[in-house]
Amino acid sequence: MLGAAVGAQRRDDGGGRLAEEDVELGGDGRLRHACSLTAMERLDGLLRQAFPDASEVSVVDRMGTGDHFQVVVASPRFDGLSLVGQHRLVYDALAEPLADGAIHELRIKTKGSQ
Amino acid sequence: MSEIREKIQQVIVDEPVVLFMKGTPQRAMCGNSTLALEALRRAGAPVTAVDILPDAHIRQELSALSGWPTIPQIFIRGELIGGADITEELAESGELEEKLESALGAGYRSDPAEKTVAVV
Repeated sequence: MLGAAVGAQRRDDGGGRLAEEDVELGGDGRLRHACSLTAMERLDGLLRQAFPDASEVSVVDRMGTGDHFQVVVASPRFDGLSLVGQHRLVYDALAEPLADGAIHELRIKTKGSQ
Repeated sequence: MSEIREKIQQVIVDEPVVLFMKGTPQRAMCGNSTLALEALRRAGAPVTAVDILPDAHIRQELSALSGWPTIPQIFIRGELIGGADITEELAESGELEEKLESALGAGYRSDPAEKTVAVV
């Protein structure tokens, strides 16, 4: 049966919050995680994963359309890097949502460990 | 697709300041592209604009070349400066004008010609 949920798992994402995921059978017969995280939470999670020692991570849905984001990251990982290098690290962290179209437009603000 | 890649490379090398954007300076189709264009204009840069919308391969080839995944992309004398955010930040701090001066010479403002070039 297409789309039938075969179970639910609760997973600790390391941030003290539990993210509920439904594991379901997709149309191609393969198991998929239908994530109930919003796009913002997804981006936030990816950034915190890539910058675990960040002193600041914020994701704002700029236009309320769920696909234009302003992200701010302050992390020692940026120290000594050019702006291009700093933004590249953020792009690397958000490679998946950039590739699957979840992000239509992205604004980035990076800060080092001042 | 290598033809598009070659043309992109050529524009980046030949033109002093290149803005790969969505739409044209006369009809920009994206907020970030407009931001970058305005920052470059304020700095008096001679902008050569390339519209990436006519063909999906333009963006593909450009990103493969530059290693930068989004539009707009700004190049000064063949060097990737970054996207809209970086260009704006550099414009605010005065660094954009410094870069333009050192790359194009102190008199670059006297010829702020703006043009559009096609790569397909």
